[in-house]
Amino acid sequence: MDVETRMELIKRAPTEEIIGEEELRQKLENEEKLVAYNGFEPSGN
Amino acid sequence: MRDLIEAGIEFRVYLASWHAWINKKLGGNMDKIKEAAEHFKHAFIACGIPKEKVRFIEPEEEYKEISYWEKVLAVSKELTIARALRTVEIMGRKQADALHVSDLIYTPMQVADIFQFDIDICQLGMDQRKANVVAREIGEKIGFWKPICVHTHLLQGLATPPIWPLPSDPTAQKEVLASIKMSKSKPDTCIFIYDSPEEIKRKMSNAFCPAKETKFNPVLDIAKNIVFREKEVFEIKRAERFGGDLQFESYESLEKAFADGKLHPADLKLATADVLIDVLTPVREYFEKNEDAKWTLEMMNKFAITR
Repeated sequence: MDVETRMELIKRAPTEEIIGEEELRQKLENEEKLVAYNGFEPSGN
Repeated sequence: MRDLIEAGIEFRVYLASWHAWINKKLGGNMDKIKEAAEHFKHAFIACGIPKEKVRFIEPEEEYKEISYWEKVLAVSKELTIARALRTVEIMGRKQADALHVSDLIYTPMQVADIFQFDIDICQLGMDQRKANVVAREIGEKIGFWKPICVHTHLLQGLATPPIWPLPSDPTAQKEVLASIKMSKSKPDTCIFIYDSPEEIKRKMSNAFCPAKETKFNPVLDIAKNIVFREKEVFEIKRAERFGGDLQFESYESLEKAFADGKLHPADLKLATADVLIDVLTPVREYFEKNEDAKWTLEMMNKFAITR
């Protein structure tokens, strides 16, 4: 998958803002292995 | 999450039970929080997160390392009490509600998590940006790196805002907007992933959706962030006498038609509800068919009643 397609996937809704977009693009262009995370407080309904 | 995984990025989901404990979720009862964590795992899988492509992280495996607590202190040493207080909004709290020392440790722990789990990209909700900004600012200074932040939109709650029209003063407006996000503690403001079609229809038909209003409109918000992700074409059924069916291929065209008064709120609500029902059917079925998932959901409902 090319860098543009990957960037588009990352930027699509519900993404509202990216801080460090150029750094991200650079890392994708360098084909770096990247790790992302999301965290949640498990809680009740 | 699915998009990042599709883009070839390794994904970790952190079940932050210690943070929930600090934040007194489920009465601060760790046994219940652990049950909720199991429930959350099922919820992600039910929503189509590929099980084999994510790693669920639990705090116990990481927090037993002394190097983790070293990171917590390194972050704390860079954070003034005043700034730590300003970050308590990541707990969904106001500064005045931060009454315990543990409330101030919450952000340093969250920032230390990023470096402990080797995270390049923090993909969290907009409400978490203050912690991520701290991580970017101090990461390199304490010997780590500058993580990239991908912040996601938080859906607007379905209820009518307490003040309408919204105040024009930006600070006051921000406060009102922050108070009306979807919140699972207020079930009528949000759609649960396992809500029945009838519930979804009921909640959506009661949703706040003033004609021609496009700035604060939770129904359009769902259309933008969910409907157009799932559907190439958004079809809106309408009786002939009201102009017949409509089709939209982009959110922008939908928003324009709504702003121009060419689409009635009732038709938009119904069509949006139909898409939500369609998208959430496999999720609801997962929670009906998977015995373990079903059990965790029953536990969550029980916790809600006894709260």
